[in-house]
Amino acid sequence: MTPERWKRIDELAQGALERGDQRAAFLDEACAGDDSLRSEVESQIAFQQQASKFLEEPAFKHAAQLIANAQTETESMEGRIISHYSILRKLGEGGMGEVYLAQDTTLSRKVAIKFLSQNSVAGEQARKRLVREARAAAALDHPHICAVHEVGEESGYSFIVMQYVEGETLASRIQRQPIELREALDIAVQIADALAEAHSHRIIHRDVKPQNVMLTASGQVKVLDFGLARVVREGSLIDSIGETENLVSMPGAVIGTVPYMSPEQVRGEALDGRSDIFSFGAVLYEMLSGRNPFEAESMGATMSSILTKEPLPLARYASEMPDELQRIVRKALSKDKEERYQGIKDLLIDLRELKQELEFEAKLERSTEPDVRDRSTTPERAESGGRKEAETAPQQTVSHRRIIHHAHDLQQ
Amino acid sequence: MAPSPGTISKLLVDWRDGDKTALDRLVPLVYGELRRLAGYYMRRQRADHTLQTSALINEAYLRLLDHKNMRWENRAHFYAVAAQAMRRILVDHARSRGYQKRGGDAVKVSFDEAVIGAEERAAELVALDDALKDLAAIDSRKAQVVELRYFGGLSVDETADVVGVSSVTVMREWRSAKGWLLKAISKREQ
Repeated sequence: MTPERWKRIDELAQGALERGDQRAAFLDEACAGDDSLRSEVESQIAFQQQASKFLEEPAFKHAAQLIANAQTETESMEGRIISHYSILRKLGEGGMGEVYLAQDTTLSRKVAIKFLSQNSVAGEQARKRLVREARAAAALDHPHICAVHEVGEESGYSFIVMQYVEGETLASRIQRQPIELREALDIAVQIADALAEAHSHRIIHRDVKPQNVMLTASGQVKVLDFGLARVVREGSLIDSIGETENLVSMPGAVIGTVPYMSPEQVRGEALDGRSDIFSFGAVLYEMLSGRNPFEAESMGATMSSILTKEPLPLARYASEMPDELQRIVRKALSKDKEERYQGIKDLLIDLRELKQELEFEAKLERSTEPDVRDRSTTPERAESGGRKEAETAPQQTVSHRRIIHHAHDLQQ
Repeated sequence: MAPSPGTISKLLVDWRDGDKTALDRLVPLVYGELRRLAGYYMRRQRADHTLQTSALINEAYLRLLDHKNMRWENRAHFYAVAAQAMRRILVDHARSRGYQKRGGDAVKVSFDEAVIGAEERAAELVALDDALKDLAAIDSRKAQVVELRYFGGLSVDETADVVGVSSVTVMREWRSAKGWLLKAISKREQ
């Protein structure tokens, strides 16, 4: 419709509306046999009459209704402004409080804010711990550790402002689909790297679990929530088990953590970095097998299994599991902390070496073996190559070649 | 905790002067106020489903924009900018919810109903924004009147002030524009 055409239609429609019962006569004359014009004018008049209530209330109200309808019934921090943070939406909740996405209005960036739930049974202790968590983590500046920007208190809320990491948790990644060997190694090396950094600052994570590991779209790992860090050192709180039971009685609290606890954590003993190594071992096991090594029907059974049961060998879940990787996981999951890796750095070195070895083997295979196209045209050569390998190391060849296949993927 | 009116007017000035990031910084403040309102709305709605909360909304909206405490060269200019900003923010919000394409382009025209699903409302806002763009192409004054009245929340007299025409003309343009828009949106539905 041209502006001129619309102007004509509009003028006639307004004219007709002003004429009351003279309308038909007015239009007969004005449109003078132009049926198309007449019908457009009639249509405009009809819609205009229907539209009497249309848009009569401002958009602002509609938007508020939109939000009201979309919101859950529960009281929420959403929409509030605390300090210079505008709370946008809830990201999740943990034992220590709720985490929200917020906009930092001063620095114009998105952040994650963890609020301590005010009705927390842990009360004042939890509040103190929240602050400690932040202080501990704020000292850490590392590409694989979620940065803590600020610890604040306002209007009775204690909160920690953290880097907002977009992505999915390792927990959901594991659930979604099995993680390939190369990817699992890549993630594991980054987690271990983050823990090594923390340990070098004498900070223990104490709550290493897939829910506390974020994976960004670009494959970067960020370890979150140094939630229980340094608590023991401060000496003011009851240690792990008693406290855990306390929290477990809260809805949605720490239950998920138990399967990743170290034996010493389950027993409520003093902890050091080797406890994190055990938990990390459980995470690594789960990445490779798709299941937690100790989880049982009940919390008690899970704890008992942590203390007494040897996890099923990883090879039971995946036949192509490298022996070296199985050894690494077994060593990390030793019940006796003296038999475990004594430092996360040693574990990190072993993981890196394994990763490099697989990559090297991949290169080696590419340079010695005919490529896929050759294989399809000259099957005999490929066959003979395979047989030759099989003769020298019949047992290992299968798994060896599968690893190489994985490492191949890494290169591509 | 309402946003400081000073902050909002400053951001609006910045936006008018070409600072594109000012709108981004404005968004959370507007959202914050919207959500606070939504809270009121929910409580009122629970108490009485037929209750309209226009007065409350209008009051909050005015507080948000707080034109009385501002030192703009003229009120009209401020209104125009505020209405534009509000339109951008609300429509972006609706679009970001991803509702606009649900069920094709079907839109249930029911702006006057008190209770309606959030998704339909969002879709309506998006459809209205599109239709308003089409209207602006053939009749920019009517589109401006709608922007001021609907997105800016202005009264007929205030709108007349901004546009520089009589209140009678605004009323006439407003009715006509609403008819045109309703038709445009209904057409999309088919």
